[in-house]
Amino acid sequence: MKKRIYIVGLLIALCFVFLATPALAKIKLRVSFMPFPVHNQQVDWMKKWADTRPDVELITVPLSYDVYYPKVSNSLRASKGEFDIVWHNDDWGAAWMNFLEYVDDVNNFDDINPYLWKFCFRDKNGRSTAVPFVSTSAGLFYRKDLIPELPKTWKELQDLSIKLQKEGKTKWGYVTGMKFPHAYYSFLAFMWANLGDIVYPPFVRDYDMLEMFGWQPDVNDIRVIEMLEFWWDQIHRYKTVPPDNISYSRTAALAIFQAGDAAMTGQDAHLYGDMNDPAKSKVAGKVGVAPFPSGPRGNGGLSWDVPWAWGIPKNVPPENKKAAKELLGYLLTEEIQVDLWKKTGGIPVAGVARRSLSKDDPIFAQFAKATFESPVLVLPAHYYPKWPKIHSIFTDYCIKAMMGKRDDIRKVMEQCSEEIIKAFAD
Amino acid sequence: MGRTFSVLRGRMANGQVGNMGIGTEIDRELEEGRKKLLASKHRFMLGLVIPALVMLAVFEIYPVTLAFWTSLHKVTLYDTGRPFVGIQNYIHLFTDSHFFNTVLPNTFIFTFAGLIAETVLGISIAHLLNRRFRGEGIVTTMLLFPMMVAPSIAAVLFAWLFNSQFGIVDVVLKAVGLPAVSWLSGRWTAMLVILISDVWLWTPWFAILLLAALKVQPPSPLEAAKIDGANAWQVFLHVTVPYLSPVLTICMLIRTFDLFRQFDQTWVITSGGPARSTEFFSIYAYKEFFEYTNYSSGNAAALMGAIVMLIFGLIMYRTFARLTGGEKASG
Repeated sequence: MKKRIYIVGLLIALCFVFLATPALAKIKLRVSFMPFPVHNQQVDWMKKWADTRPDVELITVPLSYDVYYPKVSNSLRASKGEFDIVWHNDDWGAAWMNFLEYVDDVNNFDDINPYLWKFCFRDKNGRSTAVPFVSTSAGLFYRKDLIPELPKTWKELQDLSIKLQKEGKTKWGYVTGMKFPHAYYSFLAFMWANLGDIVYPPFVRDYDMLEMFGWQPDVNDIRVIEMLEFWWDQIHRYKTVPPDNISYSRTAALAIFQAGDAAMTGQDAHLYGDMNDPAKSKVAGKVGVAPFPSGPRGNGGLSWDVPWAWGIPKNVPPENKKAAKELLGYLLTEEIQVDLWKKTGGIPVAGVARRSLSKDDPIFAQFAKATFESPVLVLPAHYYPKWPKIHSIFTDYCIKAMMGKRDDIRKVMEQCSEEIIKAFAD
Repeated sequence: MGRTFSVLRGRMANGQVGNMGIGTEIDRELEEGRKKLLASKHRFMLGLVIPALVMLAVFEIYPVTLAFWTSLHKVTLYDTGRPFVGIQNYIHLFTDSHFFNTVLPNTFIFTFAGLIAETVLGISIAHLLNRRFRGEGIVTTMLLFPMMVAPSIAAVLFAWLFNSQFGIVDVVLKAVGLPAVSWLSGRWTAMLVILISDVWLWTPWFAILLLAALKVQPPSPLEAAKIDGANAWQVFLHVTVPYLSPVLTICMLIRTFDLFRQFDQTWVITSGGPARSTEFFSIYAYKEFFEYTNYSSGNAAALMGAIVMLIFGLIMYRTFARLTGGEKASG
């Protein structure tokens, strides 16, 4: 009897020891991300890393792009965070800055060109609040089998589209996203390619200078009006673009391009993998890339070189932050960065990977020329906290201009200017 | 307590109670016993209600209070300060021309159009199915299918059906010699797509509930009306509709609120576009709150929506009750 009591007691004691042993309590790293080719590649490597770490349990939480920003913003504001690592878009740099840890001390961070983080993720202390992992350089993707000579100007793009349509080689000339927040490859890229911008002075992203100029909207400037007239003509006059392009996201536009119904599309470089995948695309193996064509006032082809990144929220336990930093440093290693390009077409941010790929991979060299080495580079967002609202106002008014008469474009953009002034003052 | 009543019962049996006036010892005992019983009952009832009260406080009262507090302060994602701004957010809302010229009309037009379409179709389907026929069970089950689909999934389905490049609707239009329509690039056509998706989703709900009511309708008033020479339409209008009025009133009220705060389908199909032309109350509040991360104006818009809905609901309730003769429902 006594013996049995001893055994039961021992078992209970063992249970307590087992439950209380800190070594066995795993660090749960919850990662929020958008299910997208480049993110999926990163998550695959995160899982591989977690497999080598018995003390870490990785939990991945995919969130739709449409709800990502609001959902994660709320989590960042909470006293206890829901995620230990969050996917971070350069657009949101200023809005999330106060809620994220400094991460410029992770391994391999110094190998990233500071240009890639200093405008969007650097806070007032000069430190980075995110670790870039891919450049979201965008470009004009085209059908190599249909287009022997690349359009370098809007006029060439228009003429080429009309010619291909007349010859019955394509249904549409250029199809891309236009609705918020997918207007980067239409209204925004073409505005910048005509040297226009949303706020005066154009291309300036320095807070102090913008403040000095009184946050003055520049959307009714001739360079922006010309861009809208060009798009209006493509939709209504020449019909090189689908009439309902104004309601397209980049995904809808990509579907049309991959179905072989458009000769050209504007997209992020990291979607090249999908375009070139025979299982998903009828145009696989026929896709080339170039900078966005220049407007009548432009200085040559345009692209951008800005990152998507990972951030670590402040509102998570220190041990989770430590593990998260180790993981983010690991993601910057050459092997993973090169794999990112090979699997998805995503342009790596690590200098070592860019250098080796430029040397060894001719397609990458072509991408480099079309994107981060293009004649005109722009920072494709305004890194102030109100950017999401200003961006949304601008896109909505551009679409409104497309829905009305051509002669009313200026009037619509004057209204847009007033709305932007109100939004800044609000 | 039990002892008090047994004593009382004993005294009543002996005829002692009837001989005693108010204020006597027994009356006092009776009163005390009653109070004790009531107190015990109250405690018991309170115990039953407390969990619900706690839930209500945590999930309803606290969020609404917090939302109201936020609407009186300036709270954004990027500013750490939360200064008191009084009713500034409400003034901003009432001076927003987009809110008055687009959001409010859209919301009311959509609510009325959806309600009328779903009610008429729901009654018609219920009426059609209210008879014995072969395959009755299969048809009724099939009617439930749309209700098994999540609204956002139904919205994706409709967005692709009406897609101008790949959608089946334009293929059919072209096949019958009609021009293709850019459904999602115009305000009214896009609204129509949202409306169709909503009608597809919710008409069966109407039909099933009304069918259940019709199935238990007593036959005698119908027979009496027929004997009096009423035609089918007159029977329907003067016998069936008044009979259905309590169910109809409740159905229409519930759907009015649902339509007023409709979000899922609109967000998936148009996100309020093109150029904010299909924005409803809910989308407006969502954008202010989540897209622009202006929590104060988002909360002000949401609270204003709730107040409008409350007033609107009261008016609707009384109007429906009066129109359908549902005095019992209004009581």
